[in-house]
Formats: sequence, structure tokens, C-alpha cells
Amino acid sequence: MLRRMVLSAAAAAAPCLRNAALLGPGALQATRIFHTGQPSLAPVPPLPEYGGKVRLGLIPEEFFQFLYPKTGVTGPYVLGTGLILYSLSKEIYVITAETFSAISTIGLLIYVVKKYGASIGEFADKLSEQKIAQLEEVKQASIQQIQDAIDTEKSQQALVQKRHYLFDVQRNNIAMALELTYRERLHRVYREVKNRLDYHISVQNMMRRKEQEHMINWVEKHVVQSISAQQEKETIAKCIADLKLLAKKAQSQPVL
Amino acid sequence: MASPVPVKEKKLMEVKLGELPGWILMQDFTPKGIAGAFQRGYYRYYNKYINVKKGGFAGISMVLAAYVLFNYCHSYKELKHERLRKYH
Repeated sequence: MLRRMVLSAAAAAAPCLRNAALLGPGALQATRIFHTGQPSLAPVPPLPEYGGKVRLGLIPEEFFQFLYPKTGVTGPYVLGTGLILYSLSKEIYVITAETFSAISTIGLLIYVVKKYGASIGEFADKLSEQKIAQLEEVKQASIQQIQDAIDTEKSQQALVQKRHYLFDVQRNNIAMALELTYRERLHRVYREVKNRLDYHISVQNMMRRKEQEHMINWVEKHVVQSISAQQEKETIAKCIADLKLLAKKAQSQPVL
Repeated sequence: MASPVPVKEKKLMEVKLGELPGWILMQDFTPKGIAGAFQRGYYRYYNKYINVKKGGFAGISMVLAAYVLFNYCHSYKELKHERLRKYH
């Protein structure tokens, strides 16, 4: 029974854990939702230009407005005067030596504030304006940077659309290279085959030439061998007789 | 005394005079509540008179005047003896 109580207490104390256990480890991360509401602090509202109005440097304007319906414009001043006279007369405020030092101090303070208040205010305004300008610069620079990044990203995205040109060019180049190597190899094959065929042709020519020369030499040799000595003498005599005949003929020709 | 808006959430100016003791008793007097009240009061004064673009002297002068008054009240006991007249 004690254990049951402890379990029920634990279940009551941690309902989110129980739901988480039901969902399972992976599903818990998926179903958790963040940042659904509108951000309440952005944009931050700008600082008010002037503070709450204060009269005499001491009493807020709201007090005067509070008394206006009942006592009109002079009400609070009469109230103030009455209070001061009452405190003086009943010596709730005691006049001592410090009163005079207080009067001098406050007088001096009022004089300084009245005389130099405006210029000090302008100086402080200038300082804060410088600070604001610096921060504004940083903000503008950051915005510009991000804008440039956005433009770069857009142009990159536009470029992606034109990738197919690049791929076409590459494909054309590859096709041309393939064609070139094919033709080169074809030409080489042709040259090699022609080389082999030329070789065979020149071998045949050489063989034929050799055979011709050999035959001619053989025929000459045999003819020269067959001419005996006597035949040689008869041939030479006949040649001389023919030459004489020719000479006579040649002498008689030019006369005609 | 039965009003449509519950008494606790009304601001001080809207509480009727008869409901005042009830209202005071309903306020949060835990340490956290008191600290919260001081924080709220501080930020109300700060955001109205000091955290502005062109604040004036009034922002600190009111604080100094309140401090002067507080110190005067605290040392009234000793100042009583420096009165100029005994009977007023």
C-alpha cells in the first residue's frame, strides 16, 4: 500500500514525465513546440521624449490636476503656503543655523540649474546622439551585410538554373574528343595496313627485277659463248661491206 | 459593497473608502510580495522621470527632497529641543 501511495504521488507530481513516457523518446522531441506566441519585447518601444512634468522641480503635475476640479488653479499653491506657515508657526519645522545654510545651498543650486541647465542638457543630448549614431551604424552595417548575403544567395540560386549550359558544353567537348581519337586511330590503322601492303609490293617488284636481270645475263652469256671465232670474222667482213655500200649511198644522196 | 470587479485587483485610487481595510489586508505581505512592491515602485519612478531622452533636474531633485524630508523626520526628536518658543 505504501508503494502504491508513493507511485501515485510521483505520478501526480510529474504529469509531464508520465506523458513523456507514454509518447516514447523520439516522439517527445518531435511534438514539443517552441516560440509559438508573438514575441512581446520586439520591437522595443522607443524611449519617451520627456519625463513626467514637474512643477517647481519638486511636485509632479498630477497633484495639481488632482486638485484642479475642487480648488482651481491656485489650490495647490495655497495648500503649499498654508502648510509652510503651519509648520513654521507650530515649529514642526524648527529654524536653526542650518536653515540659513540650507537656504544658501538651495539658492545656489537653483541659480546654477537655471543658468546652465539648458547647455548641460544639450551636451548630454549630443553625447547620447553620438552613441545612438554608432549603434545605428552597426545596425545598418549588419542589415547591409545580411542583404548582401541574401542577394548573393539569390544570384547563386539563379545560376543553378543555368547549369545545363555548362553540362551541354562539357558533353560537346567530350563528344569531339571521342570523335578525334576515333579518327586518329582509324588513320593509324590505314597507315599500318598500307605499310604492310607496300612491303609486299616492293618485295614482288624486287623479285621480278632480279629474275629479269638474271635471265638477261644468262641469255647474253650463252649468246656470247655461241659465237665461234670463224663466225665472228665473217660477221665483221659483212659489216664492213655494208658500211661501204651505205657510204656510197650517202655520197650520192646529197647531190640530189 | 458587492462590486463586479473583485476588490483585490482594483488599484488604490479605485478602492472605495469602506473597502479600504479589506483591500489592505488582501495585499501580498510575503517577503517576495514586498520585494516585488519595492521593485515595481522603483521601476515606475525610474521609467517615468529618469529613463527618458531629455530628462531634467526634477528626476533627482524629487529623490533628494524626499531624502531630506526623511532625515528631518528622523532627527526631529533632537531638533525639538532647539525650538525658539516652548508654547505654540
